[in-house]
Amino acid sequence: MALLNLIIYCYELGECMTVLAKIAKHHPIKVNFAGNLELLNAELRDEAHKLMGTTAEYSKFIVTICVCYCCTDDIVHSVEESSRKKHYYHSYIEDSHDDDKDDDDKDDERHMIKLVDIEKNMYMAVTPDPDILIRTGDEHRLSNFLQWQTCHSLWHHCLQIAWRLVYGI
Amino acid sequence: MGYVVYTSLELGVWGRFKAIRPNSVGILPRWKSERRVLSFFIFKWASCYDALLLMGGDMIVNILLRLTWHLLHVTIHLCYFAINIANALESHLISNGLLGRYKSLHISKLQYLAIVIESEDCRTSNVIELLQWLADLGVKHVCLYDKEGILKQSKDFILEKFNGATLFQENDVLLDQPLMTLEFASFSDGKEAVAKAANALFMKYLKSGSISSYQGEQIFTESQMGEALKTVVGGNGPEPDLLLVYGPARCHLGFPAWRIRYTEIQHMGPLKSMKYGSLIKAIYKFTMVQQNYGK
Repeated sequence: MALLNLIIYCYELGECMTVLAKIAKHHPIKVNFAGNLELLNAELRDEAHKLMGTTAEYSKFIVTICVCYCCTDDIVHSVEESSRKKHYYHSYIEDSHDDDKDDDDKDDERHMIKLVDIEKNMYMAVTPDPDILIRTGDEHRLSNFLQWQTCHSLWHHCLQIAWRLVYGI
Repeated sequence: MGYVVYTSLELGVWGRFKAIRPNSVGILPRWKSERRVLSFFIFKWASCYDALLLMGGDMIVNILLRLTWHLLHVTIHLCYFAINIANALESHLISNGLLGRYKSLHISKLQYLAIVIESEDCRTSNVIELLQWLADLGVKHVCLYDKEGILKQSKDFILEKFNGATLFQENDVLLDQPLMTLEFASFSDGKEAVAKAANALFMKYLKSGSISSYQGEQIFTESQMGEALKTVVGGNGPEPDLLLVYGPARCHLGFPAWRIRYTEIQHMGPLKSMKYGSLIKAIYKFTMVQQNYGK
């Protein structure tokens, strides 16, 4: 059953990408896909990259679609990326500045992962933090979605999005 | 002597007085020059009238749209005003035990409660009163959060004034305890703690030589991150079941993101206008929720 749902999901995602590609042909919309795209099959992943490449030049209207995304995975992925980059930097600094022993404190600070490094390496770094978060379905929880990015976002929950969107804005 | 009267609409459509065509019958002037002068003035008048109509038309449309937007906002505000009055009345009825369904709360479902308070709204007297209400309802484990850390700084004062609580210890298990346990958190326990945990993990794996530059390889897991966070923050409680937000804005104000994955969030309004009935209603709503994943 889970496999069937996964197949349906991939099929619907593929359909969604086809529709987006058609819309992007006629309207200047930039499309971003945020999430662990490695979990998608190769065909969908290529379609996603192709769509992002085709619409990269637009900047007036940006749509970000979260695929294979959850916030805790985003944080872990970001810590991994930051660690890899710091490891490379650390190795490079050690190799090229072996004689420089006096600035131990400065080196330690440079080797540390800062908050700005983590935020830069997140999947959702492609878009600014949202001002408003709207959840449909009348649920009052974030369900592991954007709890890092919504520190200062107003959130609304509703059954029907249309009139609530008017009030929220 | 007669004149042809042309309506402005006809003139607007044609645009040039040579192309004027009559639509209503009047009296034609006999002399050509008189007719030419008259046509010129009529055209000028009609052009000005058209321009005025166009400008006025745009202005009228703009004004109408703005009025509609403001009317919509006023209507929605009135609706919410009425809803707030109804909520206040309901809260009063709940406090006095007049509504039957709120009389028995399944408080055992609420293992860990978190309360987010706007830093500017942090009055210790209100906080202590809120804690007293929670103790009366049977809530055993509470986390108090405010962004600036004002509650953290006042924790000794709060623990002294509120006799029925102890500080939450890292190794405390969420079982029935005689006294309520209190945890105090601030913004530094959120994003900054994740950065510290990231450094702890990085140093650990640097020493073990496990980090490589191969992009596809996963080197950290969520459980390792969770363990690192516990080590870094210390006295860090579990994920809350319910988060109550006391403040003017509906947002969690930076409560540690790692801990609110599946937490139910309820906005309660400003702390100074907190109501016992609203608290009971929020807890009741939580006990009726069904989650498909998590606890």
